[in-house]
Amino acid sequence: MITTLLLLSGMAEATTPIVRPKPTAEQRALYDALKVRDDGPSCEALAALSQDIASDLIWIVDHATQPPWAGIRAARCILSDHLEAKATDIDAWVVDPSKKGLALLTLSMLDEVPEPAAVRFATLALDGPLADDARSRLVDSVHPAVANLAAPTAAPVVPQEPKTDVIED
Amino acid sequence: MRAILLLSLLGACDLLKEVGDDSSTLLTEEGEVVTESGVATVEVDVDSVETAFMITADGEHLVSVDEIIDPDGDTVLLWSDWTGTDTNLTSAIYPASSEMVLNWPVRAEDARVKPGKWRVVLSAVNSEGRYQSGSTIKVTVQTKDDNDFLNGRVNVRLVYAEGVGEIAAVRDAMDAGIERWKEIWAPYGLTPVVTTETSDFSANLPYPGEGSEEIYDLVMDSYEDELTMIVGETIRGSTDYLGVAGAIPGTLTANTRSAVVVSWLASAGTDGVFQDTDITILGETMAHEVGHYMGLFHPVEQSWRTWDACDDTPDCTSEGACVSALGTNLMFPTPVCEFDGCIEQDQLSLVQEGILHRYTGTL
Repeated sequence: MITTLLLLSGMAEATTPIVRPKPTAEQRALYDALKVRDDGPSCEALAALSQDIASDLIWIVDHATQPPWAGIRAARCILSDHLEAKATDIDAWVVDPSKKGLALLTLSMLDEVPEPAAVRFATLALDGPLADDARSRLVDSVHPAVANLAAPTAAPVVPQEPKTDVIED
Repeated sequence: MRAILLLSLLGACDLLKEVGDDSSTLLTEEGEVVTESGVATVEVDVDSVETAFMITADGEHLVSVDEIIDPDGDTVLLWSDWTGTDTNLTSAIYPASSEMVLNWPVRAEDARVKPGKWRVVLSAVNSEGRYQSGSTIKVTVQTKDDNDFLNGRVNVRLVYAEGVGEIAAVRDAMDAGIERWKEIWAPYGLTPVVTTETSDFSANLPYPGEGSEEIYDLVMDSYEDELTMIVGETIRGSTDYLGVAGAIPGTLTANTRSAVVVSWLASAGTDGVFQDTDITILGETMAHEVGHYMGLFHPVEQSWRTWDACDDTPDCTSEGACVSALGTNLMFPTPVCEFDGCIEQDQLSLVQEGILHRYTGTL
């Protein structure tokens, strides 16, 4: 009896469908515009498709895994047009290895964002698990503060013991 | 009145190269013409074994093709028959750039290239569309000797931009993507023969449709029977583009548009990792962009009001109808996806297949 119940509960669990969040009409319209293969839409054109464009673009980033460029294009518009409103989301991108594509996109766009924001994201990235990727991309930043953050630090000076001559008998 | 000037070939037979075991050859000749009353005629001598030719022009003004006349004196292409229509045959008829590329024939129905003197009338206009006299146009004519329109190979020089070739995951994904590309082309008798190399080309790639001196310099080192594809991280500082073909068609010689560029970052998605589906789409993207470079337009543009010149790709007029009729076509303008999955797009129509085989670089 217990075995039967376990089996049944296992089957119930195995056949439970994964519920995919259903997009709103505006999210659907954004996705359809973003998925084209050749020239993608401008951020301005996308903005005309949604009343809450910043949040809907985040929804695309989080839920549209195919084609791979749909989420990347949505993220680019967040970085260019909604930087302040979605700064905490971007903070998470640059330190999460499972969002490495978003992190590299953010790092590649830091020259285009105001320096204080660039410093904020660069600092997080350089302190996080993607530091090596960040350093190589930020060392030539147009923002001096970012470039300084990414510059290779001088090797710490290790005090050395004075050399003593060994005199062998 | 339009005067006709004959192309004086400055350096005949600059390159004669045999490729593969079917003795297909590509011959390149260079010269220049000067326009009178805005036009100049390039003569192309076609012998009995040559089956297609390509003219690459580089002018002082905007250059386009006005007319193509076969050895019998019959006009086989007239620009006014195609401009302003809802059908795309070749970009060569549009004076959009000082660099122009014509591949002839485009389709099987555009008449077999018969032996004799072909005349191609080029025009030079300014940005207001006014014909320009005394305008010098450098011309490169390439002809191919390959009468097999069922089997062909396309040589591709794949160049990794600076640092990209050192990323093992990108190289692995590109290798797998190339295998997917080969699978897509195989049923149509086409084989991409890809050689790879690393370079110090900037990983932020230029947009080749706008012209780029960096592309010109890189392609100067390519053989004249190979297409150049550059793989970088971003294109024009953006991930908006996954791949871009320099022109439709693109040239086999060096100019500022003579490359296909591909962004690996856009193709890897938000996780930055190439999943199996990403690799499938990457292979389709490479085949799609090279398809543009070899002369294919989208069978329908996303306005659903402009089509290619292939009789066997339906002229559908709505998104639903077009997805239904053409959604699996390699050259469909958009992937058919549903947030977490896409259908495979690997089909070509017979006319599209014929266009690829008539590209002068298909040997």
